[in-house]
Amino acid sequence: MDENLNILAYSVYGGITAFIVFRVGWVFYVNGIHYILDVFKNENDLAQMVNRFLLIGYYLINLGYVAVSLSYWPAITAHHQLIELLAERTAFIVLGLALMHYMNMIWVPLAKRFFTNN
Amino acid sequence: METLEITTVIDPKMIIRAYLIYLPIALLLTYYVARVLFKNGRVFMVDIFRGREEIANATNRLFEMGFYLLNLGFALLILRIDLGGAELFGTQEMIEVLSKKLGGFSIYLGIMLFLNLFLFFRGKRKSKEHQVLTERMIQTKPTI
Repeated sequence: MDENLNILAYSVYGGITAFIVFRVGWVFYVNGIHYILDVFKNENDLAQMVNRFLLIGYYLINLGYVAVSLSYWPAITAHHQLIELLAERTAFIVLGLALMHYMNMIWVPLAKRFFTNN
Repeated sequence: METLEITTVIDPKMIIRAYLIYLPIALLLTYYVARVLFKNGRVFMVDIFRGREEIANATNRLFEMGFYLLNLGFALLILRIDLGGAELFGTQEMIEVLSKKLGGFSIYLGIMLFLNLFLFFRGKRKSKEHQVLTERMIQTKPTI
């Protein structure tokens, strides 16, 4: 087989994960500000800053993970293996995002209760 | 050596065809369930946050995102068809494998749907309890 399926897999994987990470991050950034404003009441600048730091940290962690994980792919020899691996690796990052998201949904209300003492 | 023999017997095009059937159905199913759930979820959220539209909408959107991430992730995770040394993968086997996968996935989605509905109702109840409590506190305050 003379075509290199690994390079094809990397480019498709990079495109899919970049799309998911940026899209999901943007939704969290836009909707999360209401929660952060709830915690830091009347401190609009601080809330905006925290929100932006969270977004940048999120991008760094996720895109870094995508980049690092590329070096751990096995050699791909067939097209059905390409689909399987792409689905599996995308599932890992999507489930990782889901896990982080649910953890945030749990700890942010707790933090709010802690800070506002109510 | 064994695996080499199997790949020569089994037509890889058939597996790709199975994936191409599985993926759109699983993705569309998730999309449909999420759309139904969160179109109606907004009503609950407005109730839970006592009319604070902004945070209600934000919470609904965040729950929707979480639902998509979890279920699409799961759908992709179970995609791989493990032939397990089978010698044949024809149309019959493909239908059996696909119906098992898609049936299992739709049962899982149904459980997730009811779990989310349960969370919505629980949030509504908690919010109501809190409201009753604060109202009672306000009423009893002058007498102390």
